[in-house]
Amino acid sequence: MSQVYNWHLGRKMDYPFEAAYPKRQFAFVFNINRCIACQTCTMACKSTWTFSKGQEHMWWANVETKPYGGYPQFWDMKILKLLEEADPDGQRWTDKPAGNSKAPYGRFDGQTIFEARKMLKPGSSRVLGYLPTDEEWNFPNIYEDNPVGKKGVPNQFDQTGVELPVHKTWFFYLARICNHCTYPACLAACPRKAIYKRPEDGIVLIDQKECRGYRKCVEACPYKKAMYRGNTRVTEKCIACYPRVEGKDPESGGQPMETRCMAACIGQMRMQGLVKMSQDGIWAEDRHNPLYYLVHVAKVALPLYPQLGTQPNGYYIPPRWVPRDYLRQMFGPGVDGAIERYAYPDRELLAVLQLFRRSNLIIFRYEIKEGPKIYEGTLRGHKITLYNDTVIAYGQNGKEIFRTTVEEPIYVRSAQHANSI
Amino acid sequence: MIEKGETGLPVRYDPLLIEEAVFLALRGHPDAKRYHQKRDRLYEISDPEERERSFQNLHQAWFSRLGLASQIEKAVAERHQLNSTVKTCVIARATSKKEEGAELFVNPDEGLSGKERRNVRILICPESFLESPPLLLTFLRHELQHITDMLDPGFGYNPALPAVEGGPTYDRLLQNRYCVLWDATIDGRMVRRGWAPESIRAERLNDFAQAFPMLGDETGQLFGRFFDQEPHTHAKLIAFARDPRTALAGSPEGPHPGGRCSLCRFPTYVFEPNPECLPAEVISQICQDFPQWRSDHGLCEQCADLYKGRTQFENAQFPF
Repeated sequence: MSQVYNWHLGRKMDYPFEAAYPKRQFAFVFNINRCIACQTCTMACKSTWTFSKGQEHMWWANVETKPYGGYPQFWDMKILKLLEEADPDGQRWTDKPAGNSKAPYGRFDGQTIFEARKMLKPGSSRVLGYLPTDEEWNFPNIYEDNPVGKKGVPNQFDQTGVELPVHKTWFFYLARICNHCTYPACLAACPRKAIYKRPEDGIVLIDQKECRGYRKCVEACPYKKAMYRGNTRVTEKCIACYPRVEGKDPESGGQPMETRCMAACIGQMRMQGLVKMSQDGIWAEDRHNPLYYLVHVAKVALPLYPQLGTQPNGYYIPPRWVPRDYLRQMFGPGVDGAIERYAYPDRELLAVLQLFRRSNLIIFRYEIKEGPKIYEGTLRGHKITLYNDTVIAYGQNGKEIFRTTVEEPIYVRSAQHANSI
Repeated sequence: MIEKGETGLPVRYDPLLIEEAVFLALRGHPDAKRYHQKRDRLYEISDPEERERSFQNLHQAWFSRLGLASQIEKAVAERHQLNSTVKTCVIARATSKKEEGAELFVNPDEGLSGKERRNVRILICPESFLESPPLLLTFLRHELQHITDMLDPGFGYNPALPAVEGGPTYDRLLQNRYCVLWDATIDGRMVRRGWAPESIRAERLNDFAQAFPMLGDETGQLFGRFFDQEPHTHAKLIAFARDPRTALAGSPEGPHPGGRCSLCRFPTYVFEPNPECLPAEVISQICQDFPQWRSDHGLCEQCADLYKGRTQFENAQFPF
């Protein structure tokens, strides 16, 4: 097995293929603090790609309530448990998060799903994983408002479901799509090499003509975003709305456009882009690309379960109110710093956060024009100063897409308006 | 697709169930490669109907080859009665363990013969084929015993449970209790035939104790009447489920713990101890509202208090 560099882990790791990186990489940032689980993204995806016979159980985009929800049910608990069994008490991070873009979260010394495969039988297996049951696939969001299970019975909710919603504790909504990983587990596991990563944008696709329904990818993907379709007997997955990303959508005017799930987001918590890649697999410095800024400069957006080892390209601004231990398990050791910076944003971060969902075109670069000071005060002991800066977004062709300000504009209607008081 | 059981009863399998069971059974199996080689070739067939047929045939062949049908065939073959009373037995895919079970479907078309009208459907999860064969066989035997009971005139099954005083909550209670009793009689018979382990008795007793908490110390002894004895009838099970005490005593008359107050109709364990000793005015008050009431009908303490209080109020001397 070859060795590849995984910057999420801050070290090299086993992977069945030699490293090869696209020119640009499809990536996204979701701000969990703003998600209201309206499921508009879920339905936008469903109504575009998975509305046909045999796809009833497929939700390429989904939003689940954490910690007790999951689609398929218990997906993250199950894979974390398998890893823990493979490497008891060894799934640990060492070193502290640093400014180094080759190891921004420190170093993970445990085993990834590629390294823990050794516990599998037969020995030829390439990835540690499991195949969810029909029951786990068939009921997205079941019991999510009813988290009370039986005491001492793990991985099972109350079977009768007669309790009214009891949120005894914290929760948050986790929106998920395929992470179009840099080291995809689905690709690694496919016995027919039917899965490939596009060299132009890193989108991971399944060649429907090559797939023969072995379901090795379904078993291997730790995020469970490859889904088997019974009536065609092939596996399908999120295609990152690639016609839109290619600028083929008539609405896009030939410019790269964000996916359907991003564009539909009511809570304006999603931003998607195409980041430049270096030949060593690290993101090439692109200081004024908003995704590069959020992930590598402000470091407020973190990968989902980086310890799994696939180097996912979905990043999340973690929720402020959730216990840190849980978040550290989910997003790695960068959580504390990310929440600190997000809760008390500096001038640039505040401006960049205004870029979310002002346009459906992909933003390649932003620029900030400084504005006047509009507020000064303290928040939980921190000094806060707000400036009404203007942030300008540019597309792939270098043309301005839009400009917006930190302070939300207020429009006052004329007094003669029919509904005026 | 249709497959004949040993009894001659046609057993039809859901192709989706067969395919999934074969797929799961072959994971890590030495023959998996050979199966995939054959399956891979079928993707090349361009005609969708022919391709679908070929997939089904392949999975059917492997289903038999892997011996996955053996427990079903055995369980069906044991039920000779089904051959003369049921048209087909369909084995279909359950989406969850909770859904697994057998159902008897009866076509309402009275122009058909009794046998032609009846079909059995058994829902099973594909994963169940991978569990231990004895466990699957026990499950199938249990479910088919339900069907056999339904078809047995001596049992006298009636799909509509009688209406219960007290509303939908009591309907559900009756249904649950009836299920517990029926399961107990079935598993008792299975243990005696050596079809189920002795340990199942404790499970059914636990269900019984939960369904009839009012039986107290007598629970074990009363459970034995269902688990250890036969035959049973639908009517007797219903009678016990509705009112265990009455069913046992054989006399529905008179107040008894857990029975209903003859005035307010609520179940009670606390009856007025000596209703015949109530003051004449109180009895008169009751009879005004319930002309048919007699003291041997009894009444609960709450109703007695109500009428005592009403009498006192009417006799009270108020200064204004």
